[in-house]
Amino acid sequence: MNPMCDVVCETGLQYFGKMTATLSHELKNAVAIINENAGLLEDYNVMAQQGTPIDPERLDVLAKRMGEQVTRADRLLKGLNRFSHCVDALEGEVDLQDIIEMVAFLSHRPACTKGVTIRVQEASQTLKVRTTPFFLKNLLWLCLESAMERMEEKHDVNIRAQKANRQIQIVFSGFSGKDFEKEAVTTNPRVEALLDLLGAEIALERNERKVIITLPT
Amino acid sequence: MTEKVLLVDDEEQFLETLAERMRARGMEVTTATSATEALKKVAQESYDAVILDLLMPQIDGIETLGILKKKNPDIQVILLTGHASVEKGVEAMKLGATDFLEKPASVEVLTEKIKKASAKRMVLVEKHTEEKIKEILREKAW
Repeated sequence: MNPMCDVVCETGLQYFGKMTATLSHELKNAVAIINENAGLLEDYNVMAQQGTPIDPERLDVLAKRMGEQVTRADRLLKGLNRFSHCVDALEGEVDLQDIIEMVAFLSHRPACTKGVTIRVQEASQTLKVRTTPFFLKNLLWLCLESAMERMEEKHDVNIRAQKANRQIQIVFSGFSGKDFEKEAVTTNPRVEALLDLLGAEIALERNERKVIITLPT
Repeated sequence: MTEKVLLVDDEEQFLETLAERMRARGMEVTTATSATEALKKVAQESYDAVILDLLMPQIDGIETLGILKKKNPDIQVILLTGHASVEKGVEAMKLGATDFLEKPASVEVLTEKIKKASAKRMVLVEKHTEEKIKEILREKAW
């Protein structure tokens, strides 16, 4: 097998595994909160049977919390479902804003654990490209992951799609960390393999602390 | 006996609800939403058991467990997590975790594990006290 293909397959599998594990972890947290609130309701019921009156306001709080967690779990499940379906068709025309939003959604928890907030900026126009959506998401995640490893705590990273000089680009900005220059994401062999597969290019604007991915049009 | 417990999780709703349920079962519960806050609280007070989430922002549960055990090898730490894997469980036990529970956990099971951890801590405290008394008796040679 082509060694480059090995790297891409391995990277893709790792990405799929990492993201599904992340989402399932968040789902578990939502389920655990629902479980505790249901348990607390049972506790109140036992107390009521023993003669302690139940405060209706407390019941209202529990009902609202459970509702919030159901909404959260539903959002996570929808995201997980959309992510799973992104490998149905390996290639297709995609809206870059959708891709960026999905990457931000999937990366939310790993970013939080690093104290990083990902902010998606709206593109000034709809930008569609023909690409392999799964591997493009994988590439964007690797850029984020590499940069987050070296970032200072509590930082925001911005992502946006843009059209500049007839080129369609995805721009990451707000990267911090003193190792930004020497340990750039551009030298990651997995990033290189994905860039090759997607026919994309990556550039680092050191002064502005930006990573720019240019996609083929 | 009232068990003194420190509950650490970045999910605030989970903390609040579980703490209320544990208090209803006669435990004295303090909460912390981050490892940093938990480490501060442990430095100020002693607890019969620390219930620790594995995956938290900045300092994760495994790292926190390592710090806690280094500072106080007798501390009883139960890891409670939604991110359970065999590898993480083994790593936690190697670092000295008393137990490892997967979310969602039954409050009854957790209570039982806390009581066991508290009893284990008591035995360790008694052992240390006995050793200290023996040492004093040896030194003074009465």
